[in-house]
Amino acid sequence: MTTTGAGTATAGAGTTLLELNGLRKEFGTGDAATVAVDDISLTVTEGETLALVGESGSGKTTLTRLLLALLEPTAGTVLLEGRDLAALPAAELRRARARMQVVLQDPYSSMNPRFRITDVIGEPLVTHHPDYRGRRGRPRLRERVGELLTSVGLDPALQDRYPHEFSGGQRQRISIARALAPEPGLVVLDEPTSALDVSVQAQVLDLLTDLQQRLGLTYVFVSHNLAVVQQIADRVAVMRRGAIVESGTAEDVLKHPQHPYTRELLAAVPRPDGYRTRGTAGAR
Amino acid sequence: MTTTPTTEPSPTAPETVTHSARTGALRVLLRNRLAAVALGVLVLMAVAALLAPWLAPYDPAAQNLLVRLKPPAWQDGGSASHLLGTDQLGRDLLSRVIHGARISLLVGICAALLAGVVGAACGLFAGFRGGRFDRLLMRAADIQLAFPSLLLALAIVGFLGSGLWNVVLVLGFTGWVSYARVVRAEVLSLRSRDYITQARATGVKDGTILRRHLLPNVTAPLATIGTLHIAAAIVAEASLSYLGLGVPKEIVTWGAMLADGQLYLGTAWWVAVFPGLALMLTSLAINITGDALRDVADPKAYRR
Amino acid sequence: MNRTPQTNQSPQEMATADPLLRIEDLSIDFRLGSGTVHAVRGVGLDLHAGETLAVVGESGSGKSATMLSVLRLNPEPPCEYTAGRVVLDGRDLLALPEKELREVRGNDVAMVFQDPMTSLDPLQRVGNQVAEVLRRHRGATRAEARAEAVRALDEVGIPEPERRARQYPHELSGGLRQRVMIATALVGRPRILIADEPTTALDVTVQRQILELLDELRDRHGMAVVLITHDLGVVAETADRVVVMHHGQVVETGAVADVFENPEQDYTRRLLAATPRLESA
Repeated sequence: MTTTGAGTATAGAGTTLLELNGLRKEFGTGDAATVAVDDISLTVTEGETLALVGESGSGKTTLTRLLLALLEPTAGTVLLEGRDLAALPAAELRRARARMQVVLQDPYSSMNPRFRITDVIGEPLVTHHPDYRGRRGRPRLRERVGELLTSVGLDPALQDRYPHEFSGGQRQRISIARALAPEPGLVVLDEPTSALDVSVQAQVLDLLTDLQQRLGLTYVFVSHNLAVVQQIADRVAVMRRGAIVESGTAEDVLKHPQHPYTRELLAAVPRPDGYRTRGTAGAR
Repeated sequence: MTTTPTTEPSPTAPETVTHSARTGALRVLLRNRLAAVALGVLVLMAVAALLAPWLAPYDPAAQNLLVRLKPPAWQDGGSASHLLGTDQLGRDLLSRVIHGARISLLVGICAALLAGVVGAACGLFAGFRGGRFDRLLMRAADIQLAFPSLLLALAIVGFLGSGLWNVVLVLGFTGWVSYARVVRAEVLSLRSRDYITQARATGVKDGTILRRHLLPNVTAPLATIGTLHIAAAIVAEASLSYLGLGVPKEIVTWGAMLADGQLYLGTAWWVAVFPGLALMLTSLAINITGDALRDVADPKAYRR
Repeated sequence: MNRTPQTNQSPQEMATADPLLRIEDLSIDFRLGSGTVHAVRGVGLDLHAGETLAVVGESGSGKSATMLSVLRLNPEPPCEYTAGRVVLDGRDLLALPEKELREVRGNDVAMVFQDPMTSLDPLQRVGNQVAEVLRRHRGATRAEARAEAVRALDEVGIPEPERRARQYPHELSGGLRQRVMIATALVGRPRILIADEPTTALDVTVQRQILELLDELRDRHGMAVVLITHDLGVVAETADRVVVMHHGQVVETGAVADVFENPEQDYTRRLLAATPRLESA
């Protein structure tokens, strides 16, 4: 890992929640193998937001699947709260999953269209707590789902609806409610606002910030949008071709980029005040 | 950032969720007039099969050599006592067609159920797990498809011997491939859906994912193939019986009746035509219902 | 709605010039099973030769439906043009018979869409796809068309155009595919290029290159470019004038600097405020 930014591993003083050590993932075997993630080491401290930034093909999606233990690493380890996920027995791993949840980009394919919202949000609860299961647990489940809906700014009475009855922004709120259901420590947000209109995006980002403060959540925020990243992240890791080219505090990386690739990325972002600096060829 | 330019539109009217999914599907099905007629025919056949001993005017096996090869009631020489006429042994054709429905439907439904369960299980597992089991299973399916299934059935019946349940077994096990393929393809496309990823990430067990997320999404294609397979199995049973390899002679089946009637086609057409008509009508009705089922496969079609 | 069409022209020389394209009082309905959606309600805008006009709005604002109406590409049904005119060279395109409209498509007005993968034929080499358009529009011979296609790919900045011309769409990156789409749109030498979210599916670095390419091509050929987008950053960096749409209506139009510095309408202000800004040191 070629870290050029200051303080990669220990930016915050808090306890380490997630630790990646020498993580590597190859797809295919032999000569045909491609390296999707190449020797990545990272730590995420409790209560912070770490942004993973990169363009398509940078390996950020593979990295999130590795840290969620949905893929097995070719080499290296993922430690969640000090425990090596790959070394856990199946039942233990399933239990550990309650501690880390994920919100995915596409608000339309992230919910089973046949489930009512009660069951969408209730899935992690039913999975991890016997109290919520079956007919006996239904009233308790409905009550808890109602609370969760309220906490993401939706009417608890909406839980009998089906996903297709909601707008993209509302669905993303439902996804967040589902992620919060098992009271996780870590939430991986995989491009959670990329499919949304700007105004809705702003509301969802506000909600995420608010929830983090209220519940003490830790976020790994995956995004290609540097402006959004600047708004929400404490620390930033810039990925390219499976490796981290630069990482550090959001302030350092986004305002004083060291690596040429980070500079190139930053320069490419279209700015809403771009008309001021166009001057030369653009303004004609 | 605290500005909120637009309020998001509220969800659509709440009345959309008050109907249960099942009655809704039936409603959509009945909106298709042809399908409604087909469903009517099937219900009639089922009733005939269930109540055969009470509906049939005669014992289907009772011979009366005095009234051999009597034409149907509306033909010259026919009589009201044998509406569809009689066969070469003087047995009442109407009674035999009604009793034949029992075997035809029983064999068709049982064979389809058996093939459906076996095929769906294979397809679900192969699609979800992938890997060696998947490759093995699909190779087996290819090999089986390369054989004409009736020929295969003939060979197995020849080996096992004939008999009602052997026929069911044979038709069931030769039919699993199409279920397995469709289910596997569906599972493969569903497996990469975000909500499956989400369920796995949250620690839901594989069995639960199969049951709660995958199975409900493959029931519609399963039902569609199932109905088509019932029709195919009925025809296949008739073919086996026609060839004398199906169920024993004592049991009335449409296929055996066809075989009997074949000899008299020139002189007494009704002996072969009525069981043939019953067979055609049933498989046609099942096929039409199956096609219509495909239209209600979309969950949004009946929740709207 | 203020800043009426009379006052929204480009600040400089074109203040008196006749517009190249004028949309007047356009209304579009979509008749769906569940009812009628008034997607566009009384929209008017002018487009001048040589300018880049951004039509900006969120999903459901009617921005795409408005611009698709120029080539009458909205699916009919469910779409219905209930009022208004789209005037090019004194002719109302909405009233044109389909046959004459085909002449307009590609020759006078061309379009580029968000996802090049769905607009390109996956089974044809990209060179052939560009050549095909040439032969249709200009009656070029096969050999001429092929040579011209390579030239067109070269013009849109595709490296090794001869080799790329023999490749299939899936062998190209998203950025290259979008360049092929632009080449296809340009071979008919259109006077107006309508680009519907042309960079939304692309990475930022590639987005910048495509936007620069559109700028360069506009200047070289004196085209007018209409950029349909939801990204105010893209608007600020590439457009001369902007039309802000919301709920099927034009909320505000004007020169980009004017609208961004002094938005007159509440909606524009809120949209600007919601757009995340990247601060640099």
